[in-house]
Amino acid sequence: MRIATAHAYDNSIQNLQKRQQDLSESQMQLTSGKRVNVASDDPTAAARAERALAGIARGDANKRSLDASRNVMNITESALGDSVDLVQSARETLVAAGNGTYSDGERKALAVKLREIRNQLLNVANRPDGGGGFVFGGQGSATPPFVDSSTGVTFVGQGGETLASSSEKLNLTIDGDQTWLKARGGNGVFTTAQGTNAVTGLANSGTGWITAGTVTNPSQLPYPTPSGSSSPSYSVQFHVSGGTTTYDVIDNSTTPASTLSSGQPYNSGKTIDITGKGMSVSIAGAPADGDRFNVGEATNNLNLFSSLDRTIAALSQSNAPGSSVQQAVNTGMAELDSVLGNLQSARAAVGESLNRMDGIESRIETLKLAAATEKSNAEDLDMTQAISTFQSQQTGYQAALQSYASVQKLSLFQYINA
Amino acid sequence: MGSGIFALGTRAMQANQAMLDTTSHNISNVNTPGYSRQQVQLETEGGMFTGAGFFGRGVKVSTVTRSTNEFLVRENNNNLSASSADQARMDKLSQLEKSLPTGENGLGYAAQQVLNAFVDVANQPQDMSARQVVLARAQDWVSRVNTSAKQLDDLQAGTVADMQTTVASINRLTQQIAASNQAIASVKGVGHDANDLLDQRDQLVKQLSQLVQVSTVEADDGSLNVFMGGGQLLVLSNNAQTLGVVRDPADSTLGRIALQTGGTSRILDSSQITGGTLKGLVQFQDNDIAATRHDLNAFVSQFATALNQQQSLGVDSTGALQTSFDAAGNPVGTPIFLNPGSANTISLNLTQPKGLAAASPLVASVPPANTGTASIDSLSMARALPQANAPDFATSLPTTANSLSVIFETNPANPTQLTYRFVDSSGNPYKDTTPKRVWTAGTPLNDADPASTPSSQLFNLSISGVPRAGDKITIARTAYPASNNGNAQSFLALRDKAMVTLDGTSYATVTDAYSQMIGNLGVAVQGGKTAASISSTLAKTSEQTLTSSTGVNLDEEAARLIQYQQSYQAAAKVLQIAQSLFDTLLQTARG
Repeated sequence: MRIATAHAYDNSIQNLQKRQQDLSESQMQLTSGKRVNVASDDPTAAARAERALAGIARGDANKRSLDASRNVMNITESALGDSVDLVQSARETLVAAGNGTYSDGERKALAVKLREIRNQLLNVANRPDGGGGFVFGGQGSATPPFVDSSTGVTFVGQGGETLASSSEKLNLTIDGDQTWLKARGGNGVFTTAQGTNAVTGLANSGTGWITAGTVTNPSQLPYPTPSGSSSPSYSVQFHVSGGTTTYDVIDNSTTPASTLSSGQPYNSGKTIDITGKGMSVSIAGAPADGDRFNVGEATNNLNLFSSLDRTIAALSQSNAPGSSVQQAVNTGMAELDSVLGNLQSARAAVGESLNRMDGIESRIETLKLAAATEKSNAEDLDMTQAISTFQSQQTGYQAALQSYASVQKLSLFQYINA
Repeated sequence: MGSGIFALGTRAMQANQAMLDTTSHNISNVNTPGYSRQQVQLETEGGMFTGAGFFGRGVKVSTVTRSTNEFLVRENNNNLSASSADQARMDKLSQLEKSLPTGENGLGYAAQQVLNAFVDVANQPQDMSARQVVLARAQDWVSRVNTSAKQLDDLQAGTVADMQTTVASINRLTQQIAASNQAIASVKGVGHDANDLLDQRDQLVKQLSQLVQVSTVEADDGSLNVFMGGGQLLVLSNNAQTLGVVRDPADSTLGRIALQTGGTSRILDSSQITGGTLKGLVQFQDNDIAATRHDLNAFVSQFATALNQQQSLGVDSTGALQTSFDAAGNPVGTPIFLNPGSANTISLNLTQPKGLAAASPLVASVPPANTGTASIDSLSMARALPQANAPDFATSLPTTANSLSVIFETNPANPTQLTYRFVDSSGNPYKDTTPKRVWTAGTPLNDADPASTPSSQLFNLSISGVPRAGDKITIARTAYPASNNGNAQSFLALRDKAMVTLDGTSYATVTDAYSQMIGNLGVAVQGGKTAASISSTLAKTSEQTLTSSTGVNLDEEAARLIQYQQSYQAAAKVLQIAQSLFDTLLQTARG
């Protein structure tokens, strides 16, 4: 076949250019470290890398959610720790106030101390999260969420909790209403309280005071009340005649009220059974005729601040009868225990969620790493292969240049010159 | 006899002279594009009859021919057409690819980052700087979208400009072919082919083939009639048609090839253009830019509309609902993006960070008295909260004064199941359905009710844990919108929502949709590259085949030079011998 000289030259030049272009492409890949510089280099890999990049960005975003939540939970944990300490110290103060030999002045000093603790607790409850919010703010609240008004401390906000965006539950606030104001009342199952005198219709006039009581037979308990029916309440009513004190146990849930047991002899401090209901209380002191003590279902609305307010008020009274101090101390301690339990369970939940966050963080990191690996696999250059390709292209280009140089010398005209 | 030798020698010298001339012509034109190697055709002068038989009278030059092969020329032209069409498209495609950047410069990443910025808003809704970041990223996304759209416009304008240049070249070439036709026809009568003119005309047709695929038919007078691939006449004898580029009447940004006759333009169907640069340009304009623009607009409009929609469901930090209802009861939202339908004109409407609807108008909470373990996962709005003029404004709950409660009850028909119903704050039923709504773990609670208008649900309430009979969930209007992040959470959920469709049927997340777009474009560019590489190899091969038959090889010509030189020398020797014969004769006669 004839080789057209001009075409042969064109062809060699084209081939040289092609080789140079390949070499330059390899060089670009080597210098950028990427196999896929534009989508057309490998459309599937480019799409994969795009998705992996989104995965990395998503990991960063999730990490920010986690960090925000962790920050708030750390503050919450320390706030709850503070509150537990404060409630403990309130409890100790209360124990001291129970000392029957204390004078009014000494009790008032303890009341002042309690008021101080109460105010500190309010500060803890209103602890800010460092970003303009409040850790006990629930699903949005006034600033700050706990407002100390003349009627006591109320939660001005919406209960519940604000969550960070995550596939797993990450709190940004916890429910302050529930933590501070919605502890379970009484001993957790039922509450006991001074009632009104059945004869006078006024407050009890005797010096009797009632304990928080205990559950003696869980199977007989009327609580919790099944849904749809109203919660039953019970009374212990005293009769004093001729120096003998007896009591009746009355079921107020029936109409008319029915008597569960009557004419029982009263011994101060001895256990009184709410007959057939699996509950027992004990009443100490000397109740007056007609004095009543009530037993009702415990609900979740024990307000720490109201409880402290009641105790403080009782301790601040001048010439308070011993029974009222005893009742205040006893009820106050039972309520503080309940609140303490509530705070501690909130603290445990926060601690647990902090603990869980370590796991979440490592999952986020793993996913991010997986995405980064995927991205690298999709678009990064295999250096070994690329360098080897580059070497062989270089050799090829050199050979092409050399062959061009030698071939172009070959012409018949070189030989017929002479 | 003697004069016979003289004549014979002279003719031989003339013939060899002619061959040397032609060889020199070949050598001179070794680099002339389109030049075909020429050869002198020799034949014997014929015999002279004598009593002793026929005596040859030497050689004569019959004509000079060029080595051409009509079939190879045509094949090469067609291959060139295909190759330059692919090359033109490829060049444009690699520019088009830059309009949809990948990775961190891409639109998909920017869109994802707009949504990711809501994480900080959800973490601290009261923090205006977090909201500002969302707006800044939204602006960044809009700018990138506008830039991409502008690049497409520029590419489109550049393509039309290239079409105009190409058509101008086509017009020049067809006129030259027409002129060439006339020149060739005028010398047709002399009985010999005008080789160099033919070469020139072939070269013009070859150049024309690179611009637009043509077919040729040679007429009896030697002129070449040229037709476009689709049959449209371009050159008839010495008349050339004029092409032009006009605007598409349906879309003035598009260029169309038109035939211009007597001041009127007739648009040629794209199917008329079957090859050449012009085809590459038309194809790029009609398919590649159009497809990319369609994808871009679909992506942009669906993402922006989804964000606008989500914004319209929420409440901004001042507590303002983002949707009002017109007199006909249609919702009118306050959008984040204006003109979401077009990548060219989309712009950011929302500039105030406090206007970002991070809060949900409703919140759900679990009362402490519940005995089950149900807790709220999320409450998301399914449509805007009814306001004045909305069809269900009067009956809709919850309102600021009247909250809504979900009550769980044992299903009488199946005691293992729980049903749920809604009551308002006075205990009146709200949107009760028959049969009652059955609670299924993992399925959001909602208030859809076929009997009311509109029947679709207002909200979706996801809970985790298990409620017990008698448990309640309260749904109320958001009292503290500045610190609520409900709608920001819904914005974040858009990251995983399959909400963008490029083909109108299959939906993908915003990231996947963009990956799909760059994948589509990447495949188109890759395909374009492959096609260009294949067709250029074909064109190269056919060019090689053609030039091996028509091109000049210098070594061959060098060999021929020596050959003809020797023949010439031999012929000269004949004359010398003739002369010496004559001299001998003269001396004999003298003596």
